[in-house]
Order: sequence, then structure tokens, then C-alpha cells
Amino acid sequence: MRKLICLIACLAGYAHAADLERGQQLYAQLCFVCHGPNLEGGKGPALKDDYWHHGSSPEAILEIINKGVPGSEMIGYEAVFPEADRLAVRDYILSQQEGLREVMRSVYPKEFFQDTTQKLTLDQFTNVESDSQRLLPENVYYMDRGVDGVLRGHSKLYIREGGEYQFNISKIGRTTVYVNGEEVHYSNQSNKADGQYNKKIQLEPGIHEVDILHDEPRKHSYRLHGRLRHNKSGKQFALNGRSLQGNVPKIIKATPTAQIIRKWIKDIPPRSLLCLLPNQVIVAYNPVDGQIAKAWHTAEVNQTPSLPDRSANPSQINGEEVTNPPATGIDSQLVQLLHYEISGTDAVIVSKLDGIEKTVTISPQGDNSYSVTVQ
Amino acid sequence: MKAFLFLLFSLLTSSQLIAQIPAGYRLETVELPKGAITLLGLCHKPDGTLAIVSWEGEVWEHKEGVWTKFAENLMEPNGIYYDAKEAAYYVAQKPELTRLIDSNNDGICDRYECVTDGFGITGEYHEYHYGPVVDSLGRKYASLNLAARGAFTVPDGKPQGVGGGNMAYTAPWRGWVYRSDRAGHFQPLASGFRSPCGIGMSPDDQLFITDNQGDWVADCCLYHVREGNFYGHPASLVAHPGYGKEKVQSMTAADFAKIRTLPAVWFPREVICNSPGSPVWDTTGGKFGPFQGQMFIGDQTQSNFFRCGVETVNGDLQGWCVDFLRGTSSGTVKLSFDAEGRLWSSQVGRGWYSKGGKRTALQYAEWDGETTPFALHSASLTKTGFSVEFTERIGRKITPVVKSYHYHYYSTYGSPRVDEVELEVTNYQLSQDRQTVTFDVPLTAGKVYSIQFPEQKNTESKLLDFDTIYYTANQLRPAKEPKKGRNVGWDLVGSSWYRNDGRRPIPPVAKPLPEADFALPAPEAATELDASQWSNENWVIDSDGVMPRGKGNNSTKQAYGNARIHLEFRFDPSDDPKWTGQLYGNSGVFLMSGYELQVVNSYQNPTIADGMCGAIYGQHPPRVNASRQPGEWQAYDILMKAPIFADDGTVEEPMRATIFHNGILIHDDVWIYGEVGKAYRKHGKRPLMIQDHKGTGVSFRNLWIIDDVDYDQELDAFRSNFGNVPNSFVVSEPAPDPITVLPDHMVQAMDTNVDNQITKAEFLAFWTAQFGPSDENEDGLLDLGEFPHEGALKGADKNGDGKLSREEHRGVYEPQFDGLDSDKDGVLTPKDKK
Repeated sequence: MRKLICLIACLAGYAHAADLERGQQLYAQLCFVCHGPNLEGGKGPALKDDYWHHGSSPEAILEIINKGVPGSEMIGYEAVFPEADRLAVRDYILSQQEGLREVMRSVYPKEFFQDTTQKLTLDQFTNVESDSQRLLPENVYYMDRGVDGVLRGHSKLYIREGGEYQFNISKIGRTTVYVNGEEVHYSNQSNKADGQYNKKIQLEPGIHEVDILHDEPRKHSYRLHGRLRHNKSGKQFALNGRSLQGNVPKIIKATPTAQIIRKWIKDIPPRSLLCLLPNQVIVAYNPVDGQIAKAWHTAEVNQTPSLPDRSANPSQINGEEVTNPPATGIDSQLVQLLHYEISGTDAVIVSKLDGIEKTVTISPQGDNSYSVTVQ
Repeated sequence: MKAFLFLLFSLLTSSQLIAQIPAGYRLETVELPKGAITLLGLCHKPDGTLAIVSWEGEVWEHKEGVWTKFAENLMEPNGIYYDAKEAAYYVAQKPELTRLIDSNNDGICDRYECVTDGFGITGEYHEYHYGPVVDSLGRKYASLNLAARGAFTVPDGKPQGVGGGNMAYTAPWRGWVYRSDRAGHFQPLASGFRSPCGIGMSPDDQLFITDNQGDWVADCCLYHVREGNFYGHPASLVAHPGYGKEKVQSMTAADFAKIRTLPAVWFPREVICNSPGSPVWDTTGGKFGPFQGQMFIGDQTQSNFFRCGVETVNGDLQGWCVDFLRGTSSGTVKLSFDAEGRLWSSQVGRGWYSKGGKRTALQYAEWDGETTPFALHSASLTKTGFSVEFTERIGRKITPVVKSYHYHYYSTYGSPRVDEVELEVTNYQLSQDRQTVTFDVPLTAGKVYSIQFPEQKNTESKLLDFDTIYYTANQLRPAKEPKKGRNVGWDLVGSSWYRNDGRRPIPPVAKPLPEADFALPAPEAATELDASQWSNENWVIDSDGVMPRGKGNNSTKQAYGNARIHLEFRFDPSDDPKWTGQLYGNSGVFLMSGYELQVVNSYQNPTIADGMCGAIYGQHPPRVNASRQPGEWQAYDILMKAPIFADDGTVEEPMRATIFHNGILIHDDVWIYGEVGKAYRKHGKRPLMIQDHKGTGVSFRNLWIIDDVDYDQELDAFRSNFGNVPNSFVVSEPAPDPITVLPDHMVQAMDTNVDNQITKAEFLAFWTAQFGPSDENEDGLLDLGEFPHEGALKGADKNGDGKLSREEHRGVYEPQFDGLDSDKDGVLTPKDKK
């Protein structure tokens, strides 16, 4: 382990980061609270999956550690820890990465590459202008819908387990792949006579550079499909994936004032008012019968699953269920919602109960509970 | 070289090549606020502020180039309207119609009012709620989508594996359009909609809906919505008081065809649109070019704007559509004209494919104020053919190519054009100003006519941007256009009927309560209307308290305002065929001497809907016909609120009433449009009057009245009379658990009979159907280029030729099914887990 960490640190070229164990120690003291003991995420985003909101480069990660993320619970640690500690944490996070990072996608007009029988090589790209260049936070390649062009990708490849690797790339159009500047894969469906190959490559643990050049005839969807496979373990890293553009994860967290949220949550009545109180308690009040459908503490509403496509998936509530949630005590035949509003830390719901106007107030109580009054 | 290449590239990809924007117009894109924003709707405030709603549940305001968030945490609000009078936004979020109020004027919503939630929702994702739009009386209208999946569908014997699933009825009023007033009463208006994503209210108070092709909807279309009508998708009829589940299930396409109303305009799919959004009317007074008064609609898939217009033919609206502008960034769902006459468009390409390609966009189209685009302006049906108008003088006239076709009406997804034939064009003539052409073609009612002017140029040799206009001829021109109703115009606001319109659907028959349940004795607070209370001595109350209709109208001596009224009536039985229709026991209860609740025998005695027993005469038919036989006593129980007039005599709030007939609710807080045959005129308290009208005899008894009731306070209690629980119909079935081992869109495609399970046959039918389209070179084999899954290909390629035959292709999927079927019961169900 220690050897691996050192190697990564050396490859990354950050001399201060000798003491990654210090980084690991700090992580285990502080960062894990939000990002999970194994960087798998929790209240905060995961730190070892492919999706990096704010960039996956060492500089970008350090920037977030230093400055924090405004509007979130991630504060800047610049004034809290000495630089060596911050670098140590950053390098520890880097040491846990695997697969493609810092994925830069450039798209070139096809007009420059009209002879599809020819192999695509890096030097052909030196004196043409790309149409767009973008760092993909998803860290996998995809093409935006409706865009037709030649893909040139450049990325880092984090390897934790050394040994023999091989690319497995669908035979569509023409593709050339370089690892650390060396050509390792070539195929061309328009010129099958050309020497096509897919080299087995030895990769040491550490950070490598991968360039991928790809051109395919336009179809209704982009068809590049590829993985890098570790032959011994069978472990694979995806090269391509789907765009999460616009599906920026959206989590609604507690704020100093209460919030009332309408989202579809599985197994909760669809008209429920999700009252998110400042103490991170969520109370699902069903305005149809005046009952509390369910309550959670240490909770937040994760809208992310509902964001892609047609919103066919419900939003989720992350949190612990409140056992024996306080009830409203409403026992009316006819409950009719009139309006709802926020009053400081309270959620206020006004309904007609059997024709009489009543106000249900849901207030935070302690760290893990709430109180409810009906007046 | 680099510079040259760059220039070349710019030319090649310049959007002008792809977009088709009419001369004189330009399309601009406005940057959206950062973060998760997918636009669903937009509207303008009178001060020029633009407001948008997002799928993610936020409302943003855009003023002088700055975005501010007004509201958040809503559930998929699909449309927004700003009510300037109330200074509040209305949004149709999935669970309810909500009014957003900024009470402290800090620019942020602080009060979310539930306007109405009188419809059902189960959580199924396709239960969209669109709107609202508003009539001239300020009432809101919104539409309710059917569910994509659910237990109740109407497949009508459709064979397995045929085109797409069926939309389901999961909860009350799904597939309906409803109306809601400021008091939030939910009034279902019309049924038969599938995916009524577009909703618009014309400047003359006509409600229009656009729907998407699918099961029971042959093609995209525009419906002119009339209160009580059924527009074609039978699943919604479950909520209809005259149908219900069992009856709907026993009916066939032929039965539904008899009761449905056809669209005013069919929109040919692919050519004009695939998923039309909401119509808006060009009321810019010429600021948006020469299309004043026309309807503009954007399409989600085609990423275009098209125009359409309607005209009255044989008493119904029908009309034309023509493409207008192509190449928006994403797919339009809602449009809005601003005060400068710019057409704003909220666009989305999420979940459904949009040609524009972007996930979402906010754009507007603007006219330069001088350039007239050369276009087909409009079309009109003549008695023998069509007249088509151009925006400019045309050059050499070229005879159009005219075709006609119609559609199937069935449960299969969309219909092809049926019997499409080219028609002979004769008598082709050009008007003096060279802008209008007329011609004759053989006409058949119920056909769509495509009228194409290929190579037609204007006087400057410019070609048309879009050379085909489509006309839907449900009706042909009669020899003489029928007279409109007794009063001129569409006088029933928001219901689109004329007074005494004979085409209006007759309400279904409902079982009345037994006499003992509704013959209510006068409560203590009531005034019994005995002989001393009446002014006309010709009406005599006998010793049993029965008052037969006498000569001349009979008014109470005292005047009343907001009141609770009870009365009982009985028709003299008659076998004489002379005394039918309006002649069988005609009288009327004139509330405040001017607003008539009709009294006429409607037991097996058909007459016009708004003139039958229980109708607010000439305005509202009863919800149901709860009549008892002549000779039996019947009762009205009325709670009414007098109209409120401003000092200058204008109506501030119209008269409202909630009425039971024989213990059955027949009017649920309806708005009354005026006195019988007359507009409102200011008045105070007035007597109750019983009408002396024609025909056979009718008697009254047990009349009592409570004056000065608080209508709004009493309403809920009053509605729950006779065991009616107002909200009791909002009981929804829980949404079924979804199948999770496959993505939802594949489940929909595969589960053709929508039983929420996928058999191996369904699974394989889906995949084997992909073979043909994949086989691009049509050699009966799939090579790696056509089937780019190397491992799977190798695994299934039994003969080792590097290609898959149909048999081998099937072999790829058989083991997949077994893998997905984790509980090994031979079908994929919600129980199967990954």
C-alpha cells in the first residue's frame, strides 16, 4: 500500500505529499463524516466514483479543499489546516482513484478527416481547429446529441493494480488509442486490410496518459463502446458512458428556515408535503387525510434519481426513520388543504377539517425529532 | 491554412443551413439560470417580466436580463399563468393547481395555496398535469394526462405485439380537462384525452387542447373543447357519470366512435409535429408579421413552430395547419407573446427526443417589422373546394397537388394515412390581387386534405419555405350555414356551446333517492311558503298543501338574497303524444325572479340538454338526470349565492348555485352566466318566482326558504347532504410496482398488453423486431457493423461466419431473458430483481 501511494505521489509530481498516511489519518478524522469512510459518499458526494462536479485534476481537488463549495456544507480548509495537511488529504484522495480522470473531449469537424480509410493519428490534429473542447465531469466519453464530428479524447488513467491490460473497443468506424504516447490499439472498418491490432499492455500502478481518436459514420446514436480490462482480475474501466449533462445531482438539504417540498417519493402518498426542518428532520404530512405518513431524521431529499429522462424514477429521502413519529391527532372525515407556508423554523399548513379552518404547525424538536400542533 | 479551414468549418456548420427561418424573422437564445433547469412553461407579467417553470420544480423571473428565483420545491409544474388582478402565479404542479403568492413583496413566493386538488394521482410518472389557462371570467382550466402504466386500459382486442402500449386510467378524472374557479371548485369539463400536453384559451373564450398520437389517437391533433364532450380516448370514461369501468370494458371501438368528437385540426406527424405543445394566438396587432389572429404552436419533437387557424363550418370549428419555422434549439412545449410582439418559447428535449438536440432552451422569435415572408397564409373550405391565401402576390400560378386521406380509430399506437389519393383539381383561379387562389376538388366529409404548391414562386421568384397546408374537413359547407343559438355568439363562456344547442351531450341517467330521503320538512329557521306568501291568487293551495300551476307567474311577496331553498314538484302523468319534450309539464323555478332552474318532465322524455329538468335553463345541463316518473313527487334542494355587482353595475362575482335533484347532486357550485336569455343587470334582493309555462300540468308543495345564508360558509356542509362526501371520489388506486430489471422505456415497448409482466414471447418479439431495421444492407445477416456487440455476436454465432442469422440473433436474447427472470417463473414481473 505504502509503495503504491508513494508511486502515485511521485508520478503526480507533488513533492510535499510524502506523508500520505497523514492524509489518510486526516480523512478518517474529518472528511469521512460526509464523504464516507471509504470515499463512497454519504451526505457529500462520493470521492472515488467517476463523476466529479468540480473537476478531477489535482489542482481542482486542492482548490475545493482550500476554498470549499459555496452554498454547501463543504467549507474551505485553507485557514484550518496547514498546507502540508491539505496536500496530504488531496493526495490521499488521488491515491484512491481508478480509471479515467480529467477526461478532456475535443470534437473536430469531419471535413478535416474525410478519407475514412486512413488511420487517425495524433499528428493529424496538430493544425486543425476543434469545434469544441470540454472537460467532462462524468469522466467517460460520450458525444452530445445531434453533434457529428471526430472525437479526440485526452485523459489521465489511474491504475492501482499493475499487470497486463487490454482495450476492448467495439469495431465501429476507426479508432486509435495511445497510452503514454505509444499506439496500443487501432481498428478501421473502412480499411480492414490495414494492419489492425489491439496490443496487450503492461501498466504499473500509477497515473498514465491515454489519448483516444475516434471517427464513426453518423447514426441515430453514437456507438463508440469501449473498456480497458485487467486481464488477471477481469476488472474493467469504462471508456464511454452517458452524459449526465443537466442531471447535475440535486439534493435538497436543511437550511436555517424550514422548507416544504413536493416530490414523488416511493411508498409515500403522492400529495405529501415534505416538511424539511432546520434540524434535518423531514416530516411527510399527507394533506389528504391530515396524518403524518412518515418522518426521518438526519435527512435530505435527493432529487437526482428523478432528473434524467422522463422522471420515471421517484426522488429519494436519505435519512433514518423516526421511530414513533408524533401524530397530528387529526380525526376528520373531510380534510381539505388550503395553503402552506414557512414561518421561520416551522412548516405551517392550513387546512379545512370538516369545514373548520385549522393550522397544523410542524416544528423542529431536539436533533432528531419534531413537534406538531393543530390549532 | 488553419484560418481557411476554420472559415470553411463555420460555413459548413452555420445553423442557417439546418434551420428554416422565414424571411424577416430571427431566433434568439436567452441564457438560463445555472443549475438543474429544464423548462416546462413560461408566461409574461404585464410589466414585461418573464417567468419560467422548470421540471425540477422551480419558478424563475427574468427582468432586465437578471434571473431571480421566485419559488422552488414544486412537483413538476407543467405550465404557469400570471393573474394580474390577483398579483399571483398559478402553476399546475402534479398533485394540485397551486397559487403562488408573494405577500410581503420581496420577490420570493411565501405562500403556496392549493386552488384545487379534486383529481386523483397515484405517483405513476406519466400523470402529468398541464396548465392553467384562463377564460374571460377568470376561471382556470387545466388538463390531466392518463398514466403510462396501470391496471385499467382499453386495448379493445388489440393483438399482442401490435404497436405500443395503452395509456391507463389510474385515478379519477385522468384524461379529462377541468375548470376551477377562484373558490377552487373542481369541475370536470370534457373527457377522452390521452396526453393533453397543449392547452390554450382563445381570445374569444374557446378552449383548445392538443394531444399526442398514440393509442386511440390516430395522429397529433387540436381539439376544440366543448363542455361534456368526449374526445376519443376511452380510458377516461371510467370517471364519466354515465359510463364507469364495466360499461367501458364492454364497449368496442365502434361504440366509442359513435360518441366521440373529432379534432378540429389533425396535425400530420413527422411533417408538422409529433408532440405539440400549447397554442397561443397572435394578438400582437401586426407586431409579429402578417399572421394576426392565427394560432401558433410549438412542437417538442420537431423543434419547430407551426401555425393554424379554425373556421366555423356547419356549426363546428375546423381548420388548417402549416409549418412556420424550424430549427429551434430544443423542443417547444409552451409559447408566450410578450408586449413587444416577440414569441417566446420554453423548450425541452428530455425524456422524449427533440430534433433540436439541446436538453432545454429558452428562445424567442422576432419579426423585423417590414419583411413579409412568402408563405401560405391560410386556407378555407368553400362549397366546392378550397380557397388558399398567400402572404404575398404570387408569380406564375401553379396548380396545387391535392390529396385526401383519413385515419383509423383504434387502440393501436397512431394510425397511418388511410386511402390517401390524389384528387383532380379543377376551376383553378387566382384573385385580382394575386394573393388568393380558389379551386374545386371532390370533397368528402371526414377527410384531411393536403394542399401542396410545389415550385410556387412569388413575383420576385422566391419559393415558399413550406409549400403544403393541411385542412381537416370534418364537415362540408352546408347549403346554408345554420343559425347560431337563440342568442348571438359563444355566449356560454368556457363551455363553447350556444344556448339551447341541440348537439350538446345529454346527461346520463342516475338513480334518484327514495322520496322519504329527500322530502325534507322545513327547519325552524325556514319560512314556509304557504298561501300567505304568494302574490298570484290564480295559484291555489289545496288542503293537502299542493299548489297546481296557475295562470300567470307566481312570485313570493317577499324578496330574497343568498338563500337555501327547498321545493317539491310533481308532473301530471300524460299518455298524449302531443305533450312531449318541452310541453310535458313545463314550469320553472326563477331564483331571484331571473335565473331559471328548469322544471319539466325529463323521465323518458328527451329534450335539449340545457332545457331538461334540473338545467339552469340555457346554460348548464344537470350533471346527471335524476328524474322520477310523472305522478311521483320530486324535490329540488338549492343553495344559492346572489350575484355581486359593483356600483357601476358590472358583475363582480356571478351568481352561484349548488343544487340537488331528488337527493342527487346536479350542480356543484356552478357559475350562472346571466338571467334567462338576458345579460346581468344590477339588482338587489328579489322574490322567488314560479313560472307559468306551457303543456301538461305540474304541482308544487312543501316550499320553504331560508334567507341570508352564508353561501361560502355553508357550502361544504350543504354538499355533504344526502350522504354525499364531496371529496369521496378522489380515491386512487395505488400505482403498481414497476418492473425494475429493464429500463422503463423498454418495459413500455415490450409489455404490449400492459399487464405489468413481460412474457418470454413479448421479450423476444421486441428483440427479433429489431433485426430488420438493423440489417442495413438487407442481406439477412447482421455483421459487426450492424450489430456492434462483439462478445454477444461471437457467443451466438453458431456457424462461425462472423455474422448473425435471424435464428442466431434470437439466440442472443433467449439466455438474457432467463438471466433477468431471477425468480424463474417464466415472466418478468416487479418481483424480479437484478
